[in-house]
Amino acid sequence: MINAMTGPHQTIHLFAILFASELSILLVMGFALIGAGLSRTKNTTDILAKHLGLLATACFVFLIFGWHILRSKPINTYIPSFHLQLGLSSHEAVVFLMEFMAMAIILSIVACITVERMRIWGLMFFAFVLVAFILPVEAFWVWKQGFLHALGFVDVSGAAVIHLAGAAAGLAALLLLGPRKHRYEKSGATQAVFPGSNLSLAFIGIFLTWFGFLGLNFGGAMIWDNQYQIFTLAAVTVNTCIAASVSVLVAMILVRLVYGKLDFTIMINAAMMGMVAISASPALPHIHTVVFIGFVAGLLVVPSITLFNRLRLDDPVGMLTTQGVGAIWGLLALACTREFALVAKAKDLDWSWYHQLGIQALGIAVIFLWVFVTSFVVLYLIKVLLGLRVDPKFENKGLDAIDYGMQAYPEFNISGRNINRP
Amino acid sequence: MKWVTAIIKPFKMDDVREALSEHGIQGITVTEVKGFGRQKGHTELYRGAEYVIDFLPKLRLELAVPDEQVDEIIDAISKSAHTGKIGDGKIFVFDLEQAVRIRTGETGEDAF
Repeated sequence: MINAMTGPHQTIHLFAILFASELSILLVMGFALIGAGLSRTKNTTDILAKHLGLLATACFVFLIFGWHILRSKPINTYIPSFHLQLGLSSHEAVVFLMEFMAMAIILSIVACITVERMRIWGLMFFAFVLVAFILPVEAFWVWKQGFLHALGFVDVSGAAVIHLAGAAAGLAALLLLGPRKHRYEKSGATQAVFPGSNLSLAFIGIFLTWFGFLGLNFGGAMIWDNQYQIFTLAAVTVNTCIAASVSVLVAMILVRLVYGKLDFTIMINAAMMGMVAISASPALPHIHTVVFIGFVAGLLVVPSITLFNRLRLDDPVGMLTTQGVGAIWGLLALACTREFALVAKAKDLDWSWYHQLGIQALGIAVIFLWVFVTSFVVLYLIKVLLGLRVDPKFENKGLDAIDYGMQAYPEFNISGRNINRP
Repeated sequence: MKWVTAIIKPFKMDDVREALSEHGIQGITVTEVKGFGRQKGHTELYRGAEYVIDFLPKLRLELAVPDEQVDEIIDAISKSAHTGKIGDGKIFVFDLEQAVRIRTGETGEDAF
């Protein structure tokens, strides 16, 4: 698409993608702050260090390994190939930038889901394999000439490739790690809950995430789906905001009705959920479809968080809900929209909505299973060889003390330990 | 001489301080503390999960009082820290053997 253009058009196009990919980095920062805000202060240094380390891993490992899988001539539509070819043209550079941001965002999701337990080196090794092999393969299936792309699977801005993949990798890690110490050890109606330590940080985090999503959804639509052009910028940006806003409002009312009070952390999740759901196709021209997608996303937040809590999947930030359930909803909802029927007509596809729903479901299943199974195997090997989890004997000290000897708030309390937080 | 320790609700501090000043008390020491009483904390909801807050934040204030003033001081603290709701706190009174003002070496009630 970009290569076909010349002159000022091309310059504007390049600049737009560059701008979008630079906004996307705010997602990593937003996730880091939400992760730090919704976990305990004794693990703050760890979660921040992980996000920076993973961003660096995403860039360098993608440059050396993953990127070549995505741009080499594939063996067939299922198996990509790998030809190392360093050096980027300016067209390739913007695509590289956008795709490396996608990798960084996936790694951030994994870091948030495994917060307060996973040792940083185990996570870094896992991130290496993710970016070098697992993620480029599923991205190839959707973004390049892979079989999901050929089937007509629609994922414009990475709902499946980025968010669902991140949730799948995080779920694999969560199953091998287990919950945080003491979290589900109490019997009876009440649980041991560790409330977030800094909701102001989480607040800044959700705004950076929001800002980042505007870039990610727009950049994704420009690069990964060729039917979108620069004039979709406004539509994508507005739709992303609408979906997030509707989702927040619905979740607020639902939380008030169900719990009898508000919960700010669930409002944060609702905003993320709306933006993830709309990222499956952020350039929908009809506002009422966007509102509907955001509305259902808002309805799904509370039951989904409750379900994962019942299943004892200890996800303090709620990313299994927002990135996993949100992406699945967005991808499935897409098949039933009227716009989609029009697109199918324009592309001269033999289309029916249940046919497309089947393709969307297949794409979701393929990406989830591929990332989940390969991640599980890799994480299991790391667990045996290196260890994934902090030693339970010392877990109460916090990862900051164990891995860094450096507290995020050394002057916060004299004993270094809050009496209400074991 | 008596040593009076009171555990009160944190937001009642200003009222108690005012009431004590009116009774001529020259100084008090305040500490932020946490604890539980007969209710054993209370339950809260976080992300849909119910949990018990075992220790509630309180203020502990300590002051030395001349014998003849003890009853009125207890009365002043009780009235000013009172809300009528669970968790208003407690007052404990001990005998005080000696008091010394370090700067001047004054002892007994003169040191207050």
